[in-house]
Amino acid sequence: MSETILTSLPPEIIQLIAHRLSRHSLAQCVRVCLAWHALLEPTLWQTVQFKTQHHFLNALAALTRNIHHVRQLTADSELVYYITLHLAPLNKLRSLDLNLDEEVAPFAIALASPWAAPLWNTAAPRFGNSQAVTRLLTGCTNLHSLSLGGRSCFKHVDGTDAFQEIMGSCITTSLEHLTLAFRVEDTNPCFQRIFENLGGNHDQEFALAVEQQRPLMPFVALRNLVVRSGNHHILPSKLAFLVRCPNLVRIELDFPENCILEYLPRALQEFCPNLVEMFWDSGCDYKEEYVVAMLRSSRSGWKALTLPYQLEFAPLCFNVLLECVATLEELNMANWGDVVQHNLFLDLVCSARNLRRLRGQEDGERLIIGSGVEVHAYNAFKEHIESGRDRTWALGPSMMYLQMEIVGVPRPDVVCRDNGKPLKAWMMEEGLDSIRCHDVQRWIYEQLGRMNGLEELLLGKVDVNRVDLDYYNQDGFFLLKSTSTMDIEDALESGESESHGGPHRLMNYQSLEFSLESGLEVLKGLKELRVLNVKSTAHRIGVEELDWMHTNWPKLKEIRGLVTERKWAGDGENGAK
Amino acid sequence: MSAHSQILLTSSEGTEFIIDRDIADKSMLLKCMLEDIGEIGQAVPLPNVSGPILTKVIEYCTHHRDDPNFLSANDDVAAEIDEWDLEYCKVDQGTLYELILAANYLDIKPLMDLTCKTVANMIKAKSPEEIRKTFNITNDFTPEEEDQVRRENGKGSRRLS
Repeated sequence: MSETILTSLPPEIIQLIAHRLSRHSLAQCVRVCLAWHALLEPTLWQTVQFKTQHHFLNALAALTRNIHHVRQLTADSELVYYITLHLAPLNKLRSLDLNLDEEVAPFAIALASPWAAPLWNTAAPRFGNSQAVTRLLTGCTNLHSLSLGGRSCFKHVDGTDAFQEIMGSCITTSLEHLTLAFRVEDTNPCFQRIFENLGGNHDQEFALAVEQQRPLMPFVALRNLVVRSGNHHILPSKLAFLVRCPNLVRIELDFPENCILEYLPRALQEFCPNLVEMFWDSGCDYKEEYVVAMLRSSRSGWKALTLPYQLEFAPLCFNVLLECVATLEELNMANWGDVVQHNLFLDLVCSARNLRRLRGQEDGERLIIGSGVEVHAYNAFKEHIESGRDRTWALGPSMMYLQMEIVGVPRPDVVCRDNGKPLKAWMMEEGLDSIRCHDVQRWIYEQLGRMNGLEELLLGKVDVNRVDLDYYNQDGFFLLKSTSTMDIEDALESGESESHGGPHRLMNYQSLEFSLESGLEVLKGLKELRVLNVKSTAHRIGVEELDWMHTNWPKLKEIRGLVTERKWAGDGENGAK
Repeated sequence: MSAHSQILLTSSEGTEFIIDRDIADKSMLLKCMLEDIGEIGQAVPLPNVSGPILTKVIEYCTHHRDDPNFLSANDDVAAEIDEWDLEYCKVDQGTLYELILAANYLDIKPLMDLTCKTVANMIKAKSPEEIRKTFNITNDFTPEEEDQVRRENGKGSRRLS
């Protein structure tokens, strides 16, 4: 029907097609014909992850010819040496990722690779990784992102520190993103106790390093800093370069050890007035005062905070968190420690006026360490009524993502179910009648209902507890051992099998019902809601409720936990009454 | 301007097409043009698009008429192509390329995505020789050049990811 052939398409369209190909397919395409080779090779070379292996020389030759196309390079020691020696133009490179674990033995390379001969003759023996990196960085005049790491990256061959020298050779005007991965202990390792005795020494050392760094050109564009120290001891003087980072906005920490944590907050507070985001992914046991200092290190007030699950939230830390909660827009926190029991968390949701995203544990996480973001509905409600304090959540219309565990919701019907036998219910002990039970739910719904901008709502962890049959058989006595959580599907399976003997799982229905009867109507205003994740809580969602949801939440795309909706809804007939 | 107003288009060979305004609006080119100069009641000439191709394009836009995500179509390379679209793209290669050109000219991003992805899928998992065969491309490398390109880009020459 038409005479048009692929090769007659304009080059920009060929490129659009190539954009949709994997790197492997693209590598096949450059071998098809001259025109495609010329057109597509630059794309192929934009991102290079180079690892030394056989065919090294061939690959080097190709890299040398194409180095001007490379925008993003990941390299090891040998390549760094090669590039350094050949002074290849790297002024177009935007992203560089160096991982230098081994010092290259110049003699060995000289034997294997002719290009390294000059290295052996002229620069050896004192030319090491750090010198190579320093020289390489001097040539990268347009770098936006730099990642430095490895066991031998920041050290001279003789073991002395090369960090300041390397940082001195970095381009300061364009660098936006810097990752420093310290893979090895600095000399003079000091564990906490020793460190306390030597504290004064570090102070002096730190102050001196700051004065050395201060006159150097500032990293004007640097906004994002990642420090990975793998819990190794790093000399605090390394942090002195923060004096050159006045525009830092975000800091990411990965296993910082106590020594770093003593100096980091000082440096951040003094030198980085624009810092508003902290992503603290993992850690170990920290001295409380250091955590407090970290939480106080933002002068403008945090906008986004991610805190590791290893952080036990002692009351002191929590109070500091409350101090800065007014500016917070995003809070990701995996562990609230014992704070939860006292519902201090409510204080937080009652004052976080700007919060848009609240996240507890990652959804889907099987192994729960510590506890997530949790509200005890009944206690909160009681306090609300009895104390006369206004416990209305501040989380308002701007809230986009909310993940909470709402527990302790008194339920008029089933509290626990196993083998169809009713278990002693805590709500009966509380002496609440069923109308009052709905009041608690309705109060929670009212709070949720004000979040007009909510796009994702995740409520509750899987509320399943594994108990021993023996415990259960003792005259209705049961012990809730939170040993594991699992998908509700698993739980249902075990519930249906009705097996005798072996560990049993109890459904612990102390969370929101999500039924029209319990006051779902109040959530009518969540017009932006796209995802509702109520895996464990929504056992009362029935056909009527589903209809209601689809009518009232026009953007709803997904209800997680829906799979089991019918079975759960059937509790009234089959389960305990 | 009523949603039911109609637009007259003429293809390269002069065939006239009457389409609803909301169909025309799927093309950013037509949408901008109609917004700028208004509906003047005259035919809009499309000298780069032949009648049969224009028919295909209109078929696509009509099918996706009420698609709320039409313009926010994602660039997700791995995203599945839905069944209707898959069937729609079962045309000869020439037509497919003409569709790409038309989608590019008329600025219909989702159609552009779909057709480019279709061609990309035809390239995927093929050796250079198979690609040449599929698309009728002549190998114009000299044996030496071919050997060098193969060494640089063939299997195992370096690890790139």
